[in-house]
Amino acid sequence: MTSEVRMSEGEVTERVRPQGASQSQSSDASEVATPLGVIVTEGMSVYYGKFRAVADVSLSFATNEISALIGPSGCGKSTVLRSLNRMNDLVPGARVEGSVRYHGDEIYHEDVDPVEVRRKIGMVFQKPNPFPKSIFENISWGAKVNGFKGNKSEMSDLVQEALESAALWDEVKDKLNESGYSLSGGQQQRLCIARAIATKPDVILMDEPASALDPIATLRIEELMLDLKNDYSIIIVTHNMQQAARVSDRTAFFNVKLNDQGMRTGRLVEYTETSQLFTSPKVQETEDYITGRFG
Amino acid sequence: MSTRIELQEKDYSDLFPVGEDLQSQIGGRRRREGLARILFMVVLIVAISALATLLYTIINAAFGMTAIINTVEPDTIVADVGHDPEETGLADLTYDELVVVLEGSVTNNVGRRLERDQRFYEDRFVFENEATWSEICASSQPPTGCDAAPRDKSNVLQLVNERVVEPDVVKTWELIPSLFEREAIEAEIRSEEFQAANPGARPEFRAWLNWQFVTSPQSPNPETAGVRTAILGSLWVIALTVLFAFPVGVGAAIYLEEFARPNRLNQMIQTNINNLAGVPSIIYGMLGLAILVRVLEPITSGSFLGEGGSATENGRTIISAGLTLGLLILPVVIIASQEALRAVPNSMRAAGLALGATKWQTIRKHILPAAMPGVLTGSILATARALGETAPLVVVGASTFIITDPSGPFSKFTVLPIQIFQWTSRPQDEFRNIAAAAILVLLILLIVMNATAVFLRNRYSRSN
Amino acid sequence: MTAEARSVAVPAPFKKRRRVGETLIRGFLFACGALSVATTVGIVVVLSQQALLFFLDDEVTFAEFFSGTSWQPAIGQFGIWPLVLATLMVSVIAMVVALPLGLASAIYLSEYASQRVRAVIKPILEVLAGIPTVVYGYFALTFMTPMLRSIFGVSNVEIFNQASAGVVVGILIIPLISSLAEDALHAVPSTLREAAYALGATRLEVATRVVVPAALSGITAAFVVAISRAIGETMVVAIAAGASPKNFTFGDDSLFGYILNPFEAGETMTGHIVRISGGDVSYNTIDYNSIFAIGLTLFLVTLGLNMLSRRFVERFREKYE
Repeated sequence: MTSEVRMSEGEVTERVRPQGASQSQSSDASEVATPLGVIVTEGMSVYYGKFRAVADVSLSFATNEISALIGPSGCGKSTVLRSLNRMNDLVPGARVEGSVRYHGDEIYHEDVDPVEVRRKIGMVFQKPNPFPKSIFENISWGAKVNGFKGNKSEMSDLVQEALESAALWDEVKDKLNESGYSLSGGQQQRLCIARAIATKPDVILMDEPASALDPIATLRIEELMLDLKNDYSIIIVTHNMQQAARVSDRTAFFNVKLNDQGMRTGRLVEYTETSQLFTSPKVQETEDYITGRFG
Repeated sequence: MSTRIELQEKDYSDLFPVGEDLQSQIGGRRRREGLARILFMVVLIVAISALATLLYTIINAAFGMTAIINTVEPDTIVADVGHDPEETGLADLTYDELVVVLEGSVTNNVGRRLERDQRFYEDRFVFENEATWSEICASSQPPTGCDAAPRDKSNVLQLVNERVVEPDVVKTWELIPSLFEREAIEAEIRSEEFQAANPGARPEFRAWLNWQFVTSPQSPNPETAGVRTAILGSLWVIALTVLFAFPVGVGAAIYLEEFARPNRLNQMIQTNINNLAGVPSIIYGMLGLAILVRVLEPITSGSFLGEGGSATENGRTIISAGLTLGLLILPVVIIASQEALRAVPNSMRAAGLALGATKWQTIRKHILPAAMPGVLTGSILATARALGETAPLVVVGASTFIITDPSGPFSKFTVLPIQIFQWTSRPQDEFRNIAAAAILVLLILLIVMNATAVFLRNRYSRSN
Repeated sequence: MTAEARSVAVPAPFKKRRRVGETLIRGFLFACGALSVATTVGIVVVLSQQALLFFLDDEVTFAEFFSGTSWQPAIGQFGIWPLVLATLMVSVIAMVVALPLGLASAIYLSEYASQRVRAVIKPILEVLAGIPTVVYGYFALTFMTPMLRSIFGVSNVEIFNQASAGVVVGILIIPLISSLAEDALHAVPSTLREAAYALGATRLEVATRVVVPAALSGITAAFVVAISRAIGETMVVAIAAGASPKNFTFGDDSLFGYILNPFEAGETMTGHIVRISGGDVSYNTIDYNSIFAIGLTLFLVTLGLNMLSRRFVERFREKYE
């Protein structure tokens, strides 16, 4: 990562703005100074052309924790997630304002190549999307592209380790040369997780990873997430509140707000420890959402 | 279990590039990316320059300086008739004036021959007399002039050009040199050695594509030849092609999309159509030759209608050509129409039937109009392709030399692409020039057709 | 209940009326569809019949036709190899030109180009595709041949040569490959691209290591269609490649200096058919029948290639549906 940091006033230790000081509705409602976050956003807004999809998000994601982003549809949670590894760069007309820092380095700095960002911040998508290659090649592809220097047996070890970490090894160890498409939906998603792990990232972003799967497969994915958090920092987007309650350490609640021009913009409403958010949320909106009064 | 712990303790950081190593790896990938972009640019430039070069070559040949020797200068002829050459050109003379010029310049024998090929006036003779005329027309082998319509002005103008002016182009230059080195070229033409080799040559900037070129019939002289016969032939042939291929093609598409059940037979028909679309066009020519020209000769030569009767009558007529090309573009029309029909939402079909209309009524009143923009676009594009087809018509038997305009579906014919083919195949330079001019005419016709397709498509989709 | 229902008369408004018009129209439409089958039958019958007459002639044997290297009807030699070789030579050169350029163009348009660039490039490719082949023939003779002669030397390149025709046929085919390959690339789901980007790949890596392999059977289908088109191309070769069969004998003629020399003239199968049928040929002579034998060969080869390409398209569709 290059060294130039864009936002000069930011110190390396991040502190989220204390609640009492904020007058505007849009600031988050976290109250404690969190430890150094692996990814920290400050005042981040995402635009698609003129349309402001998400406004003024300030969050700090902690290391080796699972953070969940929840909210009704259209609230911008996926947009926020995709901005964390510059996947929005692929959308023509998309623009990010504000600061997004990974271990203190601004990822949207003009000298930063998104390729570098994405090796360290991996992503798993809603619908499993393995490559039309063999299971082995699916895993090894990312490693090769990122310059894996090992020999064949070291690659095999890497593949095996990735599959084991994804709790898939036992099921596929005899058919590594078969196509990734020959697996069931749940297995494919675990394959995608293994694929993301194989490049040794730091953070794994998951965009509704279990929403296309049946309940049993979902359960396995959730168990896997809890397992993985020991080695990785995980940020997930989910529309399933119970899932967020089951797996995450910290939860951020987003909501859509209509501004005076009639534009629907997503805003961060509350971000706190999961147990707290679901039992005694600080903001009324959050309580309305989790009790099902809207959504 | 133990393997798992072992592997997890293994640190893979030494197997992935880090630090400087990493920077150079990423740098290498970035360089490859940049190189790829340059390569893609090169590819696109090659494609664009191929098109540009092609157009440039053609335009360059269709206009340019010539060193031309006229036996009699057009200006002299105009002056002799009594007009001012500054104001009037040879083409501005009236029909009668031109005939008079011709009368005064050609021998009687030549004149009689010309009149027998095609008369000058409906009501009087210029070279022949009444008695001899009735005699030869009553003979067993009457000349073409007995039945054919009399000449028109561009016809006679070409005659005057050919027989009186007798232009002879001895050297041509391309357009670009003609524009930028005009003086040098003129000096060369006027130089002693050039005049010695080509006495009386004078420089003239010539637009090989001009109105006379478009309106004159074919001729063995490149200086006076025109594409009229070819254009009319093309138009006749295309008219028949469309008349056949459009209804049959759209009909087949309607059958396949709206009526056909997905059984073996219909699948075979569909596969068959897809295969036919990929058959080389020359094969269709052979089909046309064997069946339309030979087997169906009584029909295609028109003899069943009592036409012809001349010994040269056979099946190599416009109708054979039109049907051959019709069969050629039929698969394309069917496939394009099928796609257009498929794009019509099913709700429209359901709505029509629910109102009590029969299937055909629904199709005729709702589905077909909705699909019409796509159907028309596809058909016009297919027709444009037919306009440019050469090989099948050569096989079917386009005439190699024909100077009379086609008079109906049973006439002999030549078409514009074949004319281009013939002229391109001749070694003399001047034929290169008129081939280029003819190509421009063809390209203009194609542009008009494609523009019509786009226009109709826009108009129809707006009114829908 | 059913027995009683059957005995009740069908109420008048619901009786099936005989709509003669509908049936007639339906019949007409079916005939239109069946005409296409008649066309194929016609082609097969006509070609086979005349070809059979050709082979039944005393002067001709199957063996000689398929293995002979000299085509001189005047002295009774009917070996098809000179014509086939010229066809192959022109087609191979055309593919060498068109494959890389067409595929690169497709990759660029599908993976890199912005809407604005596409709006410029695609119409240009469509114009190139719409130019009649006789115009390309003119271009080959008046531009390509002089250019090749000036590059490689006037004594090395004949006025009529297969290379010139081959390159121009290649240019002719580029739009075909580009559009078919682009369709195949476009059909690859975007989620695959996203996954690859998320692993930290560059655009080139995504395009060449994920998208192109995923679209491979569709791209192969495009190549096969293009080869078929090159083989069937007539006017460019008729004008620029040569007007007499390049007869040769193994052993006597130098392999690379003459037989496989692209700068020599050589008449292709299609060029030969056009030349013979455009001249004075009387029906039922062996010359007349011979062009049908060649035509049959041509038809079978292109049909085979087209069916092969369809197989690839099926495989491609299966993957993504």
